[in-house]
Amino acid sequence: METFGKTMVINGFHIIKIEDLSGRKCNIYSIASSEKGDTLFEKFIDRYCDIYKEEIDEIVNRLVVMGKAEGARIGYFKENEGKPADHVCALYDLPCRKLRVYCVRIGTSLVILGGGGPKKTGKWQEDDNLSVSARQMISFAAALFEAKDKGDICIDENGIYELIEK
Amino acid sequence: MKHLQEVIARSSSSLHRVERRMVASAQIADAMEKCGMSKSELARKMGKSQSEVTRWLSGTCNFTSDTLADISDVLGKDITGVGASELTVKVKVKFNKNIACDFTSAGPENLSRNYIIGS
Repeated sequence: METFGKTMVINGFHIIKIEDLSGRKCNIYSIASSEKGDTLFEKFIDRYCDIYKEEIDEIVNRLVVMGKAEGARIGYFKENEGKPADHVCALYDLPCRKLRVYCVRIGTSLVILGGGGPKKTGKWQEDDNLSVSARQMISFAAALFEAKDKGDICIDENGIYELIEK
Repeated sequence: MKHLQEVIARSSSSLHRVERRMVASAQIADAMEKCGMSKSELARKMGKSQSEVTRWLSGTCNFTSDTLADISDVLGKDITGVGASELTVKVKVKFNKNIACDFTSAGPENLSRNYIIGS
């Protein structure tokens, strides 16, 4: 594991805080494959912000409200999208809207966003694009909790920290 | 990050609607927790399905005032969908026939007063 300023790297996943969405109630991060690269959530926004304008606006507004006012309450998320107890979930979207974004939610004050896409099938496993996004978050969650279990990092209500031996 | 900032800016006009939905959900969740009521129990008392209650808690539901009133009755707490951050209070007070005073408060950090001096 390496750290670069505000970026933490766990098993090749660069965890980057999204200051524009984070607030006193919830810290919101995303992950990238390199320090300077766009995060999965930024790529998701870039790809769909025009085609799915209303859905993207709704998702971003929901994240703003979580960050600044309400926190990442469990009801706001569709749970159990990944493996048992790996905290991978999807943001609920408006009824009749089908744009999924996957994330790892840890309590009400920490969300790590991944990518996603339009949900055209009953299960993400049946859609190539969604499978990539969901599996990325499942792999990330596995790396994150492995690092936590090994004592390399600490996760609490204020964020993710590298533990430095003194 | 450029697109994200643009989306935040363009979507800010609908932020209050999203916030209101999410605040209503949060108030329901808090009231359920306070009185120890499960989703299935609330659904049964409301004559709804459990998936409907899940939708209420998701922050995506546009509640009618009637639905909020019914939920409030069952939970014994007033569910308003109005959070402290957007609480708006308008008071009009008249002084000595010729001074009117309007208060508009959008949360504790944003209190404004408009004094209107009448004839």
